[in-house]
Amino acid sequence: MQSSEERKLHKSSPIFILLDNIKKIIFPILIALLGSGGSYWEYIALAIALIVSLLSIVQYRFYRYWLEPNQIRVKEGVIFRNERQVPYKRIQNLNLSQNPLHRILGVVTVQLESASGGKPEAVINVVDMAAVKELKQMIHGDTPVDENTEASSDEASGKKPALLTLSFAEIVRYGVITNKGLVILAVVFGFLSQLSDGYIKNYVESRMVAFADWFSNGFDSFVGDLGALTIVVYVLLLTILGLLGLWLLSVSFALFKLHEFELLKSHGKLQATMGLLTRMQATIPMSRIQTLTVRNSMLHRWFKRLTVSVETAGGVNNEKQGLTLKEIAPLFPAAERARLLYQIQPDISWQGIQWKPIERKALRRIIKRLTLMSLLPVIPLYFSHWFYAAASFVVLVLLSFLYARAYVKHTAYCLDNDMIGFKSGVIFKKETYVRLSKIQTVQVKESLFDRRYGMAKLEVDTAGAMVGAHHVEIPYIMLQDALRIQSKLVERVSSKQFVW
Amino acid sequence: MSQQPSLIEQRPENVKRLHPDAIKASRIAHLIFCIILLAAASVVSFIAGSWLLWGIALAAILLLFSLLFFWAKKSYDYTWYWLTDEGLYIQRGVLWRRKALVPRNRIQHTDVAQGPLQRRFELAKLIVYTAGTRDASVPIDGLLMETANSLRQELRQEGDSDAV
Repeated sequence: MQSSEERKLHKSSPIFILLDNIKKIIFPILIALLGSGGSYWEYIALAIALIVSLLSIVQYRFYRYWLEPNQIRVKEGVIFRNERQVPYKRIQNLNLSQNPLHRILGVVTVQLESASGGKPEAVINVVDMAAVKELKQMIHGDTPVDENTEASSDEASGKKPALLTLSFAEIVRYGVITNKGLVILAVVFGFLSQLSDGYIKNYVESRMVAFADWFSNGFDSFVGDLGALTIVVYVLLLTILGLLGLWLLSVSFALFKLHEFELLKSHGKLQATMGLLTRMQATIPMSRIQTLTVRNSMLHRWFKRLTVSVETAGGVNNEKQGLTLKEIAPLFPAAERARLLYQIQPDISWQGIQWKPIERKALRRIIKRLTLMSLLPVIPLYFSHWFYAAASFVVLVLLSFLYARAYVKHTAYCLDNDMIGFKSGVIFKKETYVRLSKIQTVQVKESLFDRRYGMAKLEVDTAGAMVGAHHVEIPYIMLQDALRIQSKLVERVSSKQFVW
Repeated sequence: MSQQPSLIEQRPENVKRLHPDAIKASRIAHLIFCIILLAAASVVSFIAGSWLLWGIALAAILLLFSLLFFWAKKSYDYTWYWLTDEGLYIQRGVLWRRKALVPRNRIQHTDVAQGPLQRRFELAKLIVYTAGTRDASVPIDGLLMETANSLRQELRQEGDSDAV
């Protein structure tokens, strides 16, 4: 077999290594060149960075990998040599990416992730398609676990239709719902603020002033003078324009990311392909999914759509660290929920989910807390304008009552023999499901306030959980219930071996 | 409101506590911390040339120390752990209480760590690592060195058959 044959990177690899390095230093260079006070030392540092990145293309000659029968061996490094062995079984995700230049040259960047967290385990930058095919076969094809499923699913149908594709209209909706344009705006403003007082900033400012003038002149000649109302109309118009611009940005961002999105399922793996300029392909074995989250925000409900994202144990959690695929189904009609969830996680009984609500008494606690919180801004106001203070306090209390009622109504959990689920959120509704075999630890927490009501909070920890994401953290349940669930979970968890 | 038993009051018979020396050890650690704090405050008030500032700082630090002195005992009183067939339970927390459970077959590896102060009391800290995220490491601080090692042994022996 080809097992211990030495493999090298593609001949075009130096170009991509160089481009990657330039990408890393382009922003500091731009800021130094365009910004003010570029000191002498900054230029020297930049020159050194440039030289280092030029030299670093040599690393391509030192990169080797071997596809051994059950592991991949990667050797890299010029001065500090590093050899790494990753068993195929331990590889969580395999991600490919191709920008237009990759496509012209017929090559691809491969990223392998294991559960070690942080950086991807191996980045192969770049190899040709044949090598990728071989790699995929070694990683996914030959593992003994997969052989059974492969045989059965292959018999059923030769080539399966895609689980999910996104049309242009869907991508537009996705852009509107996620509103990623805000992120781009933040980046642009961040960049502009770096240009403290270079001439570029003056130019941008003068253009902005000119635009404002043009806008107001045009407006005045079109509508005429509205007197005091002018400012209101201006604000309204600007808000609308701003929102439109934001949506336009978001939609184009979504288009770049999700163009021709396709989710396939084969041999127990999910494979998603997407991207306009940079094509990306990510493969996740279904058994490696740690948690599954269904997102349903107000805008989602408006369009009758849902988003499904998953967490895998591969530690690459944000785009800075490498390619990731979190949103396995970025947007799909809410009516297809049952079908899609079943396809993504067949071993969960999606039909018979029985939600158990949190305690009704939580209502009182939340209202109490929110009332106390709304007192904070009201009290100072009370001394100057007692009437406004009283009025706003009444409104705030009313709002907190409504919020608390919605919160208690929409927060619930479910538990059966295979999984535990939790849903919460008033405007941004989210449901998260964890298979019991993926649970790592279970905590029951009892705060000072919980104790007075005999309540507690139950938290479930899994591998690869993202900070700030929605997790199974069930608040406001009776302590006895929490302890019962904990012991029930531990019974089932300890009978289930954890297989990454 | 009917007074229900709180989280910390519900535990099986075979519970274990930390070693009582852990209180002493943490009090000494707090003392050192407070002395450093006081030294820093002294320097600041010397530079500022204000005895008043020093007095306030001294009072605050004394208050802090007495709180910590009290807290060390409380924290010891509320920390329990026990081992079952399923895994390791750890209960702790004075105001915010929690009962963590690490199933045996989810333990990746364990560490026994010992600082200079702990060495004097032959104490140690057992850290249990899981593949989780927030609970990637679950520590029990203030065990006797022997206890920590035997606990670790117990966790390992029965966990071996279930290795990931």
